[in-house]
Amino acid sequence: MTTYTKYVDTTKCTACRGCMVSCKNWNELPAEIEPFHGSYQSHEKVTANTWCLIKYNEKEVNGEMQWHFMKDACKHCVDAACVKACPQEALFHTETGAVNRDWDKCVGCGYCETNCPFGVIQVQEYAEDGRAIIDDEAQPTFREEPGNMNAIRKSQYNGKTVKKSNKCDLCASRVEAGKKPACVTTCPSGVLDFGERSEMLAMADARLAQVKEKYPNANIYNPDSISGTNVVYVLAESPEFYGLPAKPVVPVSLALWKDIVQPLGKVAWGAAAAVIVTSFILNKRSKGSQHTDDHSETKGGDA
Amino acid sequence: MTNHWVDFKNADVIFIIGGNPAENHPISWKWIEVAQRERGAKVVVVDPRFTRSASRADIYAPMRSGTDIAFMNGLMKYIIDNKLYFHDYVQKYTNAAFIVNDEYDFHDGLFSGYDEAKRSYDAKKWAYKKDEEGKVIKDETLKDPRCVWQLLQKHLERYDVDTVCSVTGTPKEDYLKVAEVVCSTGTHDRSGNINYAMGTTQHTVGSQNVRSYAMFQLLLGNIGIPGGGVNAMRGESNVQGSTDYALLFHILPGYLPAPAKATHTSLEVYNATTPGGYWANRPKFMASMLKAWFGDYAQPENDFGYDLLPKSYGNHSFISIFEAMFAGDLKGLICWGQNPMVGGPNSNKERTAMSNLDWLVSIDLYETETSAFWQETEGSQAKSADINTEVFFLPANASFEKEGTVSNSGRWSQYRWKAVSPREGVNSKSDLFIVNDLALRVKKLYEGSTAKRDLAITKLTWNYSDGIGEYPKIQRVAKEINGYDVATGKTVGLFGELKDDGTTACGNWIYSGMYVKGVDVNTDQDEEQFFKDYKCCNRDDDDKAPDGSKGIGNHLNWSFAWPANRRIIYNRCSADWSGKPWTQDKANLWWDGSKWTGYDIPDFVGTKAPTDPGGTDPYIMMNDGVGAIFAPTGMADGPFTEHYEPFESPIPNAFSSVELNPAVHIYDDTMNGLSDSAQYPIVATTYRMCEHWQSGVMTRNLAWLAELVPHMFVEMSEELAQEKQIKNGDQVIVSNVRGEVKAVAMVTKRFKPLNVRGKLVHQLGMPWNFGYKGIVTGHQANLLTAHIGCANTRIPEYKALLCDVRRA
Repeated sequence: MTTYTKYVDTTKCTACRGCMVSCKNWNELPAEIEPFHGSYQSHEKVTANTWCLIKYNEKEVNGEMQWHFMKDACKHCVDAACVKACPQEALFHTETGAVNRDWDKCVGCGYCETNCPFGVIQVQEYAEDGRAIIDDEAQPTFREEPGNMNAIRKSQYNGKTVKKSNKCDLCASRVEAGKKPACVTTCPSGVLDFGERSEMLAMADARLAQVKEKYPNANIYNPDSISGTNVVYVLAESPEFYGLPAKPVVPVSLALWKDIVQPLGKVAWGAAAAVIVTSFILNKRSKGSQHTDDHSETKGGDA
Repeated sequence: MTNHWVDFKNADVIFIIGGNPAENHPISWKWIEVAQRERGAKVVVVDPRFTRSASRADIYAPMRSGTDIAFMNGLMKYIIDNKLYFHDYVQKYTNAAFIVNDEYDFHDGLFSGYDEAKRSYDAKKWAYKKDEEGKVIKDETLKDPRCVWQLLQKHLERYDVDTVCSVTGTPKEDYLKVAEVVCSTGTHDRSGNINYAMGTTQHTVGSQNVRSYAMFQLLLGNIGIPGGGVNAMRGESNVQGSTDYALLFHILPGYLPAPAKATHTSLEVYNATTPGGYWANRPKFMASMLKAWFGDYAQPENDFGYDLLPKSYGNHSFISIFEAMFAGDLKGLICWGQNPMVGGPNSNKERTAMSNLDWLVSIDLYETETSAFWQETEGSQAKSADINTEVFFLPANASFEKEGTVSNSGRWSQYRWKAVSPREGVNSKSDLFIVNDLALRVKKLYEGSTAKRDLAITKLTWNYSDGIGEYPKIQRVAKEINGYDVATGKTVGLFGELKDDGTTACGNWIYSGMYVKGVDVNTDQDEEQFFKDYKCCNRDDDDKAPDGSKGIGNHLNWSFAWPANRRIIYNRCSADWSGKPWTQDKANLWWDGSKWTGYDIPDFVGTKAPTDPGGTDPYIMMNDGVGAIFAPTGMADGPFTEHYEPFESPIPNAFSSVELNPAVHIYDDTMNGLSDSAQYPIVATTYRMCEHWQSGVMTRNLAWLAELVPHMFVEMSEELAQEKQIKNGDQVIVSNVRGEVKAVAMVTKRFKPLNVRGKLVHQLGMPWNFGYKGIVTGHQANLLTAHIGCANTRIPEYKALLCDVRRA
C-alpha cells in the first residue's frame, strides 16, 4: 500500500497553535495546564495528553532576531525504536507507514518511552474505561467539561487503573476515511500537508530551494540514520536549534534485540544473548527512567 | 478595509504597523504567505516588540509605542525627497493641486483656528480657496506655495530621518531599510498594502495615525488598486458589522451621523448639513430609514418621525459613559457581549463607577468579570458590602448555536448557518431573540399610552416575530435592511432606488442589494428559497469576473460586500484618466468604450465615461471627488498629521512645544492621575494573544485554549530585567499611579531598550486578555490604563502608558 507522509514547513509557521487545538479536538485529549516555562511555549514537551506541541525557539544572529517554531509530535520513523522496543507488539507500522499503537496489547512497560529518540511517546495512567487520570494537585483548575470528558480527576477516581503509552497516530481514523490529519486541515499558513511520500519529499525539495536565500541554514529533516521519517520537515535552522537530534538512532542493544536475538526465538538462548539483554537494561537505567525497575522484571519474565 | 483579505495576495509590499496579523488575524496570513511565495512580496513589520508576525517578515524595525505619526511623516518626507511618489495619481486623484485659504497656518504644534479654552479647532480656517463661482482653485503644476502639495512639504520639513529616529527610537539603519521597501510601490506596476489594527487606533492620536497611512498610500497611488489599500484588520469577527449597523453613539445605520440635540433641531436642519459627493443622497437614506423604523406614523408632515429619534446631548463614548456612571448620573447598564471589567480602561475607576449602578444586565456566554464585579474574588478588589447593584445575567448563545450574518473586515457579509443546538438546561438565547423579546415586552408595557414622550416606543415598527416569545423571522429582518417599496412591498435592487418622500423604507442603505426579489416578498417564505435569494448566503468559490473570465481574488459570488458588492472601493483609481489600467498586472476595472468592465463592480456610475464631467473623480464619497492628502473637514485635530506625545510619555516632544494632542478631551482626574515619568519611566503597551480572544471570556473558559496561554505575563527586555534584578519566570508587579498588576516576568530578546532623544527608554508589554473568572485567571492589564482617548473618537489610549516594574 502507498506510504503517506506529513509535510511540515517550519519556514511558514506563525505558531498560532491551531494544530494543537485541532489535535486535541479530534483525538479527544484533555487539556494540561502547565507551569510557566519561560516563553510562549505552553508545554515543556509532548506528552500522552498533548500529542502535538509548538516549540518556540529564539536567538539572535548578528544582532538580528530570529524566532522559529517547530511543530513537535511523533515523527513516525521508518526504523522506529518504539516498535523495536515494544515486547508486546503493541506498537506497529500501519500499511500507510504510520506508527500506531494497540491499546489492548500495551502493558504500559514504557520501553517505548525510554527508547524513543524524540521523546514523543509517554506512558500514563488511565481509568479502566480509558479515561486519562489527571493529577488535580498539578492541575487544580481542571474541570470535566467538553474537551475534557475523556479524563477524570485523580481525587475522584477510586477504581482500577491501567498504564498505557500514547502518542500521535497520524490520525489513522481520518486517513482510513480518506481525510488528512486534523492538524493539516486546520493550518492557515500552509505549513502542513499530507500525501504520498514521494510527493511530499518533492515538495520539501522545491521549498528548500525557494527558502535557501532567506534561511541559508535551511535543511530537510528526514534522517537517514533511522531510514527516514514519515513526518518530513523543512527546517529554517539546524535540527539542533529546534532540539532535534541531528542523527537519531535506534539504540544498538535494541536493534540487536529485535533484529537478531528475537528472531532466533526462544530456541537459541546463549551467553551472547544474555549479554545483550543485560546491556539493554543498563542502557535504560542510565537514562534514569522511572519505569526501569518494573520493566526489568517484565523483561526477565519475557526472556 | 478599502480592499479585502484575499486581495492581500495581490500586494508586492505588505506593511504591517499597529497590527499583528499572524497572532490576531491568523487566517490573513494565508494570503500574506501567498503574496510572499507567488509574487515575492516583501513583508515589513514595525512594532514595539518582535512579534510572531515579525518572525515571518522580511524586515522588522522596532519603534516606541505612540510614535506612529513621527514614523509615517518621516516616510512621507522620504518619498517626496527621493521622488518616489506616483506623480500622475497624486496630481489627478488627490487634492495635491488644491489651493488652501490664506487663513490656514501651522506654528509650533498648532494649526490655525485653535481655541485653547475649548481645546478644539475651528476647521473653517482650513478651507480651500475658491473663485467667484465657488469653485476650488487648483494648480496642477503643484508649484503654487499655497497648494496642498507645497504645504505638505513645508509641514514635513521637520521630519528628517535623524529627528524621526531620535523620537521613535528606531535604529537609523533599520528605519532606512523599512523606508526603502515600503516606499517602493509608487510605480504603475507595483502596489503596497498597509494593514493595521488597534496598535494604530488606541492612541490619543489614533485617527491621525490612520490618516497618516491614508496620506502615505495616496502619495504612492495605492488606494483603489489590487494589492493596495488602507486595511483595518477588525478585532472581532463582526466588528465591521457592528459599526455598519451603528453600535456606536455617533452614528445611525449606514454611517448617517447621529442627530445632536443642540445642532440638529429638525430634519430640515439635519439635511442642511448634507455633504457633497455621493453623500448628497443622504436625505433619501435618512427618510427611508425613518420610514422603516416608524412605518405608517412616518409621514412628510412629521419629518418621518425624526423627532422620535434620541438626540445626543454630549459625548456618549465608552469612557464618557463610565465617567457619567462614576459621577452617579447613570443608573442602569446593559452589557451585551461586553466585559468592561477586563476590556475597559482604568479598571479600578470603572469598578467604582459600576458600584453606583442600581441595576446591571449582563448578556454573555459565561459569568464574566463584569457580571461578577461585586464579588470579592482574588483580583477583583471589590467590597461586596458596599455595593447595592442588582445584577441580572442572561445566558446567550455562542456564534455556532445560532444563525446570522457576520461582516468581515473586507465588508463581506457572510451568512453562517447554525451548527449545533444550544446546551440543554441553560435556557440560553440568541441575541436576535433577546433583542426582539426585549423590544416587544417594552412595547407591551407602553401599550395604550398616548403620551407624546412615549411615541418613540408606541410608534416603533417591530414586526419581526409573531409575538412575545416567538423566534423572529430572519427574512423579515433581511427585507427591512435591504429596503423596499412601501406601496408594493417589492424589494429595491440597490440604494439608488431609495427616495426621500416616504415611498421607500430601508433599514441600512449600505446593505441595500443583498436581498433582492423584485416582487412583493413573502417574508415567511421557506428557508431553502430564502438562502437562494439572500446574497449573504452566496458560496460560489469559483473566482470569476462578471464576464466569466478568471478573477483576481475578488470572489464576487461569495457572500455580499457593501456597497453594491464592490470588493475594492475607489476602484476607479485602478485605471488612468483615459480609463486604461495603469498596468495589466494591476488591472481591476477599465473603460471599454461604452462602460466600465473588469474584475470588480465599479465604485461609481458604471456608464460614466472618463471624458464625462467628473469622469476622473474616483473618490465618490468625498466632497471633491479626490483623495484628501489635506483634510479641510472631518478631523478634530488638524488637516495634516502632526506628532504629539502620548498622555503619558517619558520625554518631551521634539517637534513642538505642544506635548499632548491639543484637541484631546481631558477627563476628571479623580482616580485617573497622570503617572510621573521620573517615578514611572518605562513605556508600557498592551495587546491580545492569538490564543485568547478579547477579554478572554470565550477562551479562558475553554480548556484547550486556556492551556495554551495559562499565565498572565509581562514581556520585557533582558536589559530591563537585569536593571531590576528580575529573572525569567519571577513574579513581578507592574505599577503606575492608577494601579498594580501582578504577572510572571517573560524576559526576552524580542523587546529591546530604545535610544530616545539620547535617553535609554525601556518598554514592556502585557496581554490584556486576563481577568479573575474562568479556568485560567490573572490580573487585568487595564488596571494600569487611563481614561484618556483619541481627539476624534475617544477610543482609549490602551497602547502607550508609563509604569514601573519590580519583583513581587
